Amino acid sequence: MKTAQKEYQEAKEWYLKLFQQWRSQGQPPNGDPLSALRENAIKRFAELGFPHIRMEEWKYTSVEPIVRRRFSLEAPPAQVDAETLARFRYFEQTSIVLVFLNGRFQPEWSVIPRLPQGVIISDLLQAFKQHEALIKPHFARYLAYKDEAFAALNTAFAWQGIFVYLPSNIVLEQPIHLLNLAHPGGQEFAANPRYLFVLGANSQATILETHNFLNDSAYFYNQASEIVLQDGARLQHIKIQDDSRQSFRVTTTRVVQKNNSHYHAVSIDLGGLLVRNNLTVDLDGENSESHLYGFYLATERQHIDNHTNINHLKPYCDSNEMYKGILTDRGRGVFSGTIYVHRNAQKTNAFQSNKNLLLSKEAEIDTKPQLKIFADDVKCSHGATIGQLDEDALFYLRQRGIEETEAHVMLRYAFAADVFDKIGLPEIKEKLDNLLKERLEKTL
Amino acid sequence: MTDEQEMIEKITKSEYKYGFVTDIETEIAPKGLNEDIIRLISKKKNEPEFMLEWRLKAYRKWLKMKEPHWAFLKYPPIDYQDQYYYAAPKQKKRPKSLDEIDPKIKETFDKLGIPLEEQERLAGVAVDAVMDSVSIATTFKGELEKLGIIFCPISEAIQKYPDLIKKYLGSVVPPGDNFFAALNSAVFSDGSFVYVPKGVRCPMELSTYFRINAANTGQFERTLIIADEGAYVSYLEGCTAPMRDEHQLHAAVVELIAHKDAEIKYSTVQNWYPGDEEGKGGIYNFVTKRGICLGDNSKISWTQVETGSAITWKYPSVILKGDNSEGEFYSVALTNNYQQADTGTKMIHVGKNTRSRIVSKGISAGRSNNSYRGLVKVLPGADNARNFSQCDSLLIGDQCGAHTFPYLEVKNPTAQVEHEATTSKIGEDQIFYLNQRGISTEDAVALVVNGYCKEVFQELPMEFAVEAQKLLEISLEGSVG
Amino acid sequence: MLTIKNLRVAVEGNEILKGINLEIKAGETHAIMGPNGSGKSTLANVLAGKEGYEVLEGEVRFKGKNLLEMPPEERAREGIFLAFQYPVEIPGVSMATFLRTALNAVREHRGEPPVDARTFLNLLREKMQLVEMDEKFLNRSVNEGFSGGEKKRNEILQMAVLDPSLAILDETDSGLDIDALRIVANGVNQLRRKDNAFIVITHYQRLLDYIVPDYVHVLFDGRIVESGDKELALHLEEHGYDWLKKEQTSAQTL
Repeated sequence: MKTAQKEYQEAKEWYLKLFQQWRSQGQPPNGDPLSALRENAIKRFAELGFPHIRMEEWKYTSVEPIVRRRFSLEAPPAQVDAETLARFRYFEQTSIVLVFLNGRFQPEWSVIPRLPQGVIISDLLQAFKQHEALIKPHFARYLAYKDEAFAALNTAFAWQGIFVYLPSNIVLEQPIHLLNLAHPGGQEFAANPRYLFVLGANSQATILETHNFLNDSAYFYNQASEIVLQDGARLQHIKIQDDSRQSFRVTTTRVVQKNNSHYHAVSIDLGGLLVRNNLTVDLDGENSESHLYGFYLATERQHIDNHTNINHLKPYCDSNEMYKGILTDRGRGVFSGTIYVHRNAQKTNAFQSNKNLLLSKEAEIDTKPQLKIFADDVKCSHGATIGQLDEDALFYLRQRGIEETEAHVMLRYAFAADVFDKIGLPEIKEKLDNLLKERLEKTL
Repeated sequence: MTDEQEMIEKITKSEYKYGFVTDIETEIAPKGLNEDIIRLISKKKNEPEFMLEWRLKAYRKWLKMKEPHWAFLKYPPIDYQDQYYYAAPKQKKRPKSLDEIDPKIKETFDKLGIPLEEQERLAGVAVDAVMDSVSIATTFKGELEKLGIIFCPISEAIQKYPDLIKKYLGSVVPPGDNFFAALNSAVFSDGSFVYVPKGVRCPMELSTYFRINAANTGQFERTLIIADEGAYVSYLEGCTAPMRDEHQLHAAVVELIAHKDAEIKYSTVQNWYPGDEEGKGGIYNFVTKRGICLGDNSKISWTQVETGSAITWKYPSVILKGDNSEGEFYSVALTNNYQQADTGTKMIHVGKNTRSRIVSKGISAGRSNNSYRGLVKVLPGADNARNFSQCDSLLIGDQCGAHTFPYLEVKNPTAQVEHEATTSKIGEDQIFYLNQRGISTEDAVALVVNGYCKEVFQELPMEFAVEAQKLLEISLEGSVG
Repeated sequence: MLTIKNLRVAVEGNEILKGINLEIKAGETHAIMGPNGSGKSTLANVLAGKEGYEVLEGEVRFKGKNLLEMPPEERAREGIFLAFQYPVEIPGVSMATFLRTALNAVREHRGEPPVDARTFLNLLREKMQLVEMDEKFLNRSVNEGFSGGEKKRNEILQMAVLDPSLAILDETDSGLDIDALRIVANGVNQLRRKDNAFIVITHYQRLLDYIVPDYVHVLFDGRIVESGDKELALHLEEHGYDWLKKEQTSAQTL
């Protein structure tokens, strides 16, 4: 048997080789504006290698299943039809829908209605050609690709993705739906989707990311996003991840907030075999506000890990974080949340909570809420709980004539609804409710 | 300068009052660490062969280990060869009675408020006084012996009770447990040994007072406490050191073993020299403290008040092996000036219906950094395990840091684990309220801080609690806002 | 005893007190009434020395000394007592410890020796009867878990123990039922003497039925716009503050 060390080394070499091949084939096609950046990123990746469980940030999540596989960069050409797509649509015709198949943007299936003056929704590399002045100051400026292997890998291979730009004072009424579908067709492929959202001063938008699959086999999404909120900008960012139970996913997101900006994120993880979300928010402007909510349901052999970092860098900012998880079967949940308060970030209010229901003997939860506080005039708190459903509540429901299983679902639903209720999109509430209930019924 | 800043300035400028040096002749082994030094220590202690082997094994392990750096602590590298590993006040032999003790040493302990004369000692506390690695005197020995309780220097226990030592030493903290524990296992020179036999409730508090006197000397005590079935013991530990410009290393190991139905209560008031207000000098305190609730229905409770040391690295832990066993950790850690503390606990739930409770109160002032680091682990077999943790941090002044790193790992679906933490500034409205009643800001801060720590102080034996309160006030002097 | 001359105070840049003049002599009780936001609590806090209030102009002399120069604890020791509108909770600090520390600080300032535990306890017991407080309060933390009425009674108890020369009661009647109000007022009345003085800040006339003031001042928009005897309070009760507002606005437009 190979030692873990050797596995990691070989995996690294595999991606280095893929990179060389990919480049020598003249990829990405049609000229590459990011050539130098890619070289830097792959160099960093070569130095960093894949993270291992002896690293503090990865002590509960082994990426060995990813390391042991040899994913190809070639996403299989996939076909989709309007009927299939309609199943995964959330909004009526008024929304903006951007369809991605196996990580690739599909302009022909996407719906981009007439946009207000100055709004850009564009393929990433295309944007470098057409809007260089707008994209260049932000692209790869926030993501810590020099320190994080997966971000480095994404940066090296980034060519499929989307750039969203809102000029100042634009309120985009329609939500932007990023509709991701995986259709691996038996081929184990890796995709490195890359998103950049720049919201100008006092602009406002809602982004819904959904991740679904069409046939159940292994694939690996290594997604990276950068989000910039200029003064007074507001973004609601919803993610509903329901990938194949054989798939792998690492998501790295960095949000930078300027004065008076408002970021509201809800992250729902239902699918995936191994999921790791890294979310870092810099409150880099006074009076900015960040609300992060998350729900994860790990059943069967799923492993779902949420790492969040909230960096309070300026005074008078508020952050509020609530992540809840249900772990059953052999499911494993990991939560690590750090609130960092810089010496200058006086008058910070930061609250964080992580609550977990542990429902089976083989399930496991590891949680690590952390505070790193360097300013004194602050109010910060965190709490974490691990427990079961309230027996008294169960009994109460049954005493009122409700079936035991029904009572269980009701209480599990109530537990999760705390997070689902934070999705400020009433028009999709019913669809989400049904999804949640269906999944919770399956946990019985 | 605002009032607040002035206050902070004032309060951070208090002096360490235990910083004197006793001028006594000291016997010192050459600097540095090697097998010969270990042989020398073992020989000095007149140890049986098995002990020397045990030490050498630990030393060889240590050689292969690396100093850990995961804690939130910054300090220059420690040169382990630039230390003395054995220092002892020169006495012809261990005094048979208290009258034979060097009057200067006696005076030292008097000055520290630890009179060695039994009759002067407050009733109900037996003391083992340790200076520079050597146990000086143990009081009330006779009385305890009548009950079958052994309370003696560990060096004596090694010779007199080799079977107990062989059975228990290193059973909770194995020699290779961590870098500092390995170092201690190789070179420890003294410390206390307690054995409370079956069914005996120790009628008085047992106490060890540790004093570092010699310069450039590491202190490596080893304490081992065993409570046999149904036994009870409450043990207190106090420590101080002279003010010296260079840092001094202290790496102790404490092991507690509670058998069925037994209870051990271990209280510490740690007041090693913290360094001066510029951060010069002070003790580097790397301590491994761990207890095991071996039998069913046993209980181990740690209470600590940490005000001293330049660096504190310390995680008194409990392995809850017996069913229905209970672990507790109550802590007040105060850092001022340039002090750094990374302290907390581990509660490892193994048995069924095990319970643990963690109450940690951190206070950071000056330019200090204070971290709580804790682990609550519930293993698959620990049905109905319960844990509650409350970790609060109080910040005094805007140059310090307060950090909380709890780890919760749960593998049992009947476990309930709850952790809460808050960080806040000392309440300005509280200070104003007290000011308005005529109380000075400095006193007001002391009152509020003492109130904040009350839950922990309540766990201390009465007189210790009073001492702890005073200590807090002194340590806060010059640090308040 | 207290002389306030043209006191102007701002909070976070907004001028709240716009030139207060007030003279209080020993033996007098002054009521200060006014609608919400008129500056009543600001006045109380400025006199007690709370941070965050910027004195723009004016002077305050207390027993001939410049009050505004003193830190809050010195003002307290000099004899200024503020019965807070919202007394803060101080967890872990027992009433007994707190009050004894305060009393001895005040005594030391007056050149008196500290009281021993026994004398202190006797004194406390006596004063607690005054406000009908149970002795078990002594072991509780300051204001922690006290009901609204208990907090207010506790303020009067502290006043009785510390024996100030000028007590400022900031909306002490707010949130009290009639029984508690009687107890509090009764406590205050028993403490009234020729050598001390009271400022009673209130929104309603109700309290003044029990603590009968010698003077009543109406504070409006940072100024004392009316002064009179207790009849003024009754007038206010009858007509509310609206007539005042109208009068003020018309005066301003003129």
